[in-house]
Amino acid sequence: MKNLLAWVGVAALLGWTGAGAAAWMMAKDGLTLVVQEGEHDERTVEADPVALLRDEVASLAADVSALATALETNLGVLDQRGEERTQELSQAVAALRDEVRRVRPDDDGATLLAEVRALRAAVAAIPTDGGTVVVEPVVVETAAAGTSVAEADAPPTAPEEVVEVTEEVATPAAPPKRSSFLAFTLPSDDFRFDERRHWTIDAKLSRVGFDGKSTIHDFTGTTQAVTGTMEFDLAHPDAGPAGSIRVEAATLRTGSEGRDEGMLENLDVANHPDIAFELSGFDASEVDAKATTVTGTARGTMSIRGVDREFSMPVTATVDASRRLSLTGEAVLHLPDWKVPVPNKLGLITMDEDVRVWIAVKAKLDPRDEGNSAQ
Amino acid sequence: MLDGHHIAGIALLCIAPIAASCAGTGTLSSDAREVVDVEASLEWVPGASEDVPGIYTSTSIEGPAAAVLREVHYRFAEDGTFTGAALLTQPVHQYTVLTGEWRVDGDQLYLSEDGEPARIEVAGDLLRMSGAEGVVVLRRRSVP
Repeated sequence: MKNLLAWVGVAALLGWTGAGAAAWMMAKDGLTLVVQEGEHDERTVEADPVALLRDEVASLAADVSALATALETNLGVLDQRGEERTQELSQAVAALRDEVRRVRPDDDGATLLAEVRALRAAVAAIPTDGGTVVVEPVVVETAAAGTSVAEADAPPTAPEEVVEVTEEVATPAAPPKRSSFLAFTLPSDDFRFDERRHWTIDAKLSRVGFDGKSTIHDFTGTTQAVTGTMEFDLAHPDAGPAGSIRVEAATLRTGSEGRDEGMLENLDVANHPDIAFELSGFDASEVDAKATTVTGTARGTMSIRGVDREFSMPVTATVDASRRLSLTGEAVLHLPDWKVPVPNKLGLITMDEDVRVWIAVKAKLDPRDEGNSAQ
Repeated sequence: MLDGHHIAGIALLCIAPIAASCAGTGTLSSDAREVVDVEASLEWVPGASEDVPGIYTSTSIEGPAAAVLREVHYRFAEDGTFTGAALLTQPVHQYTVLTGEWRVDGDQLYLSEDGEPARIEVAGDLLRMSGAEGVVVLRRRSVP
């Protein structure tokens, strides 16, 4: 009996379960589950807080990843721009250093002023018939305290101002440049008295010589075989002048062949072909900018017959209308100091041991940027 | 008999006139030390149209033009055309060349329409051109 009841119970349980499953299968397609947050009614389904937290963490991780990617890109761009900017600044500083180095402390910015003038001359030389021209990029520094000065007639500008001109500009209605009487359009003369420039002696216009005295006749020896260069600022001639004059000794002539033979022998021109003067300093006594004239004493080393000795000569330097530097001067030279034998004919005809050496040379102004180039 | 004193006296008498003739200064005056422009001392006469044709090279340039001009060359053709080259020194050494037409009016040589004429003078094979910017002396060359 007990077994029978147990089997009936089991059968009933199975039947009930099967009926329930069949009912669920029939009703599941018609069911819709709606979950609304914040409403506490029977239809609200409470979310799993752990799952929500996991979702939020995952979302945050994605955001952080995207942010990191964006930052990495932006930082890369910033880094690249920073490097470029640093490079530009380095170049600008280097250029500025070069510019400052070129400006000597004692020339009051004359170099820069000359460059500004040359720039203006170049701008003035631009043809005006086209109406507009493209100006090459130029950088003009003006009035940087301690490094440059503006031209006297230039308008005042802010310190360290750098003006870069790259755009098209309209040229003002300047008067057309006239041709010279030679038909060529001659550039403007850029000579300035207060500027260090380089000069080259023009042998065709130069002569050096000496005056000697003997017991029966005074005489002069001269030559035009003279070469040399000079470099100085006429307004400040004692500020580091440089220069040299070289004379081909064998070309000296006194007007007497016999005397010349003896002279050249005494000068030992076979072994010492040149008489040279190397300028080492200048003591200015007068500087007249209006007359473009400087007077003073040139100091240096005189080389004669292989002997080098200090020598000084009062000189006058004048710049003429042709922009040639005329240099004249004279000084007494004691021949025995340079071990030059003094002629003596049997004690009857003797020559004075002192001769008066003189120079009358002219030098051409070299182009500003070709100071040491061949002429 | 002649003793030593007599001989010395005679020698002095013989030498004295020679020494006297040689005595005095034979040195160059300080004013004459500078090189003389020999072209300035030539006989220059006003130039005419028939003096112009030829090939020339400058021998000297004086005045403001010399500050920027090192040398100049011209070829003046008989048909009234010319070509020239000038070696400028500013801002750097560079040649500039040009061509054009020339004409002479009186002693004025016109090389351009907008520029002033040059006054021309001749002396032998030299042609001197003068203007406000200076004086240029040209030597005619034998190049055909």
